[in-house]
Amino acid sequence: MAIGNMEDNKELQKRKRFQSGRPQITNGQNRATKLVILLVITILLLTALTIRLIYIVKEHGTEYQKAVLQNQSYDSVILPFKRGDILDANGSILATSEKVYNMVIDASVMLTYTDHRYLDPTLKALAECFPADLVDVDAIRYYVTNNENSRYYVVARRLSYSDISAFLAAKEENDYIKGVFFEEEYKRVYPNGSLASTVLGFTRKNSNAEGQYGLEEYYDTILTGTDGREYGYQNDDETLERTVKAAVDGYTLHSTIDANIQKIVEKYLREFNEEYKNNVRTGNGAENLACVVMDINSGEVLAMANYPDYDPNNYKSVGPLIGTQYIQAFTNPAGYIEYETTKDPITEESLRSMGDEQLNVNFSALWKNYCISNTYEPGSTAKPFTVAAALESGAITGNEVYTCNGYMEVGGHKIKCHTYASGGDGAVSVQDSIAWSCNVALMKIGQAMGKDRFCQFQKVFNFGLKTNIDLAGEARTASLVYNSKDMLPSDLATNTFGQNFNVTMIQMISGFCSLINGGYYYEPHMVNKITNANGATIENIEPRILKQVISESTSEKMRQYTRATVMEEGGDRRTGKTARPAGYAIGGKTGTAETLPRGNKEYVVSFMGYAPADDPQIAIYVVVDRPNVAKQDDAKFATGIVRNVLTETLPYLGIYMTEELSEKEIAELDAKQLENTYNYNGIIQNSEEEKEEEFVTEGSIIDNTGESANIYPKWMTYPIDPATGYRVNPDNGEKYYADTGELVDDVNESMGTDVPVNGNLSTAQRQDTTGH
Amino acid sequence: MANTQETTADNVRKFTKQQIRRVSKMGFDWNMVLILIFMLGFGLIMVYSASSYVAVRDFKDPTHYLTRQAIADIVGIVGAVAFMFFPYRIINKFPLLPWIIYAVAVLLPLLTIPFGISSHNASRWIEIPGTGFNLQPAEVSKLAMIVFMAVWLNAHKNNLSDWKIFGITLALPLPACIIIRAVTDNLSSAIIIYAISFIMTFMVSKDYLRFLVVIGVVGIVGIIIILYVQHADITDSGFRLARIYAWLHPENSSDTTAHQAIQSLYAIGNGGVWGRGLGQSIQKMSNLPEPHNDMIFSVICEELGIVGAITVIIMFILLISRMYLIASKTQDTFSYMLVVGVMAHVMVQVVMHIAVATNSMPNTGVSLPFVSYGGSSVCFLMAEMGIVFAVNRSNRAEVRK
Repeated sequence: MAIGNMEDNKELQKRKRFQSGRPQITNGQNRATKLVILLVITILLLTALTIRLIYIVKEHGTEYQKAVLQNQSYDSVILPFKRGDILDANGSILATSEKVYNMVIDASVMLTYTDHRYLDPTLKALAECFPADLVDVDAIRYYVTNNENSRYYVVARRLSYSDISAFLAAKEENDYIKGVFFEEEYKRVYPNGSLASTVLGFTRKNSNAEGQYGLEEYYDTILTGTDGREYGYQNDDETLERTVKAAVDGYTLHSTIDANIQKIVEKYLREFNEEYKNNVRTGNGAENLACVVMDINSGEVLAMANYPDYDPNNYKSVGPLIGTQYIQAFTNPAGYIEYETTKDPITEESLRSMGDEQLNVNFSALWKNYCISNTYEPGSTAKPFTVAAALESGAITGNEVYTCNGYMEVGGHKIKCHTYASGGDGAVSVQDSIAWSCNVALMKIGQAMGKDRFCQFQKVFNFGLKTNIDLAGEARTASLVYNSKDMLPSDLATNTFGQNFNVTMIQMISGFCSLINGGYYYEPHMVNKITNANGATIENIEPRILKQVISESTSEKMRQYTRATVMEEGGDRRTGKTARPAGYAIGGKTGTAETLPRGNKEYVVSFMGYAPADDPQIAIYVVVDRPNVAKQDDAKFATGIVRNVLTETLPYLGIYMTEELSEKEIAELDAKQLENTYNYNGIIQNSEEEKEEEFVTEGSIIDNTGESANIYPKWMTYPIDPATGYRVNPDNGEKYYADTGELVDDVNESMGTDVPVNGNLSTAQRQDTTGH
Repeated sequence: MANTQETTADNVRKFTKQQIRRVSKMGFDWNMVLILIFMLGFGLIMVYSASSYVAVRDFKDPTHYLTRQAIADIVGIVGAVAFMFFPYRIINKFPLLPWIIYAVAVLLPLLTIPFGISSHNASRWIEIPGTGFNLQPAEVSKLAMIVFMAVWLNAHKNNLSDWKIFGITLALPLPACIIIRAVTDNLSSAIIIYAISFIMTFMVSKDYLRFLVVIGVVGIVGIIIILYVQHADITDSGFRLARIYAWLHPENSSDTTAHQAIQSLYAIGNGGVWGRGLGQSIQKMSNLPEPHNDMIFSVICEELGIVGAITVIIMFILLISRMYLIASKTQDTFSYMLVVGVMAHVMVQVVMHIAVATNSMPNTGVSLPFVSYGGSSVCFLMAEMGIVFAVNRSNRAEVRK
């Protein structure tokens, strides 16, 4: 099938002429054949491709479909959750998370056109809207031109909204600004800087995850939320829809820490450090300074601080390391890495020579919370525990009188009292043994009790066990206390006054609260409520009484003995008089523990007390580890801090003064301008002067029925019956406990409160005795 | 004309009077016109569907590409009509004219060096001043080469068996191909131009063997390269080989070409038999590069499924068949060559485009005729259609005689 033209016709004629020759193909025939070939080839190729298409769908359709949908989810945007806040007891923020922005550039978009119609205006806007130290435009230009296919490159991290707002406005106006977008992120912020740093801890890289140390670590799962996502999915009609799964923010912690008390405590720790640093040796005012303030009737920690501390916003800053003891990491002969706290403080030079590993070792020491993570020998602050155990176990009655010659021979050791040089205390009553801190009397009490009962009570008071406070990093002390099997008489003797066994501060103060509050051992805790992001309560954490460790009557004696340590009734030799804040009666116990190795004249001095004496509300424990002074064995270093803290804290808590103020004290209080502290809570209270007037005039309480009736409960106005010690209502003869105001029930009273209330305790004692 | 009667007996039977009556004076092949209108309309719809997302992203205007393509279509239709009335045979009358056309085919791509606009790392366009439109010289070269080869082959059709003439014929398109490849980094256009020229030569030559030999040699070289790439670890040894490696192992390769290939397969798989529905492509959002151009067939597959894809393929087969009919009715070798060149052009591009989309050949950017976005492409293709119509007019004129 071909249509010849004129040229072809000639050829045809030619062919006709040479019929006998080789058969010729006309152009027309050739074309027709070749056209068919071309058409057939085309159809064959397209058919082959169609078959390939069908093959792809049939063999890989589902697989590829899945891949497409998966790719979609890669495209999805992560919406970050907000880590929960940590609030103090008054609702002010201790830790929170702020939204910040990461600047990301898409080089591929910027370079869409080679004439740089996007790149140049974009870089210009960046240069105009950001300071050069935040965004380096030249570096961006270099990166973009060298990585033209890059679609995701983070240029600057954690910009605040105010940083980027100018650029966003510029971008809105100019369509040629392209290829820059911002990703949201949360940054952990501690608005009060170093306040309560070792209690709070921090998050890794100040992100919203991975809490480290303190509350951030202990409550990490509570504070952490779930990231949300914006993603596409297929609905039932197989169409793609974009949907947002919102992030679930972390829960908020309501801690028992009162930021105001915390501030007071930290102020005086810092003040102490300022006063004594670089005193006899270079370095901080003490190797460690720590203070815990606790609600005596609930185990809630009101303040917990130690010095040195750090700023969790910038926890890798080396500044706070300077002045702390240099911790040397070395490999021992067995091949293990050991740490040794050297006698040298860290200086700027030694800081420069430190390697990363060395630095991390010293940082982890800095980030530790001394109050729960470090152990030490408590010293004489353990004496009330020994006496309480002896009273409770019946080994002593409280009426004993001991003779102190300044030392005692136990198991071949000559164990001295602190009065050794002056020839001893002479006759020492049980109360005096605490008020004067007599080691000899305590050793004798310990002998009267025996090592089995002593060790039994160590466990009762939780020594050697964790308190389970809700903070990360509580130290284990199980191996740092004796059990009766291994205890030698000399061990018992030294243990009675707090040497040769180790404790943590939180163990000491939790136990001390139970000695004072009637024997109720509360689990110490830092958080009393957890709420969600909308403020709805998720969990209320109520105070938990774990056990009754001693009876109310023993506790009453302990209040009396510890009061004598501070107040006039303890006599001139009392050790804790310098702890008393002006206008208040408090109780407590000093401690001066010699550190290892003995004979170095290095001491941990401490004071543990409660206030006010007539109605215990708070307990306070201050530890000064190796003060930077020539003569360390003086409790005044600790009592001074206690006095200062209580002078501000007690009025702040609304606790009224009961003691007469001397001229000097009035002047001192005036100088402190405590009015400011009253307003911490936003509650307007009576001014200092008014109250002072009320209290300085004795008897004015009874006479003044107007205002003062509001200040004191009615039962406190009743006169005390000298025979029974109860307050008696003159109208109907009802009797009230003088210190608590509870109505005395005559029937129950006759049963005797000396019987241990805790059944388990007495059973345990019996078992122990039968065992021998 | 008497002699033609006996050689076209079949033809006469086919060309009944009815059919002749349907032939308009204008010379349109109305079947072909309908197919073209369908293709252009379908092209606009698919360009809009495939490009609107990208257009909003880049230009904040979903119709950015649609508008430009519609304008190009109109220009193309006008061009087709103009070429239809162009007395194309006069080219043969001026001995110098074919060589000017040849010079255009070879040299025009060189203009991209001083006047080029680059996009995606290659300078393939020349800006047409004052219009906001760009010209792709490679498209001009394709048309110019078809016209030149038609003249050349017409002149040498009887001595192609001479090895010297045959060699010169095969070598003539090479300069244009090399320049396009070298200057505009456009391998696919170079391949297309050479393939068109080769097919045109084959279509006029009476020989088969030597073409089979050439195809065989090319095939063997290709297989050797594939085997080499298969067994060598060459992800980084040169762009072209990497591209071949990516074609053979798209899943193992992490570079962009492999990414495109696998994304195209994903689109086809995602579309299934019936497709996700017009406008419902997911892959066009970001995974497919140039979804409105080099990858439009993948978008068609994803949105309209195998059914839609086969429909498109059938429409191209119909279009090529119409050109086949016109070619078979040509009265002279020059007209025949012109139609065959256009036919080869459409066929080569369609096959290559679909082959790339199905990962049946290494990834090179080829647009789908009439459907893909691209003003130069559609304008010059429509011009070629105009030439086919002109040939058709001439055929009719002959028949009417």
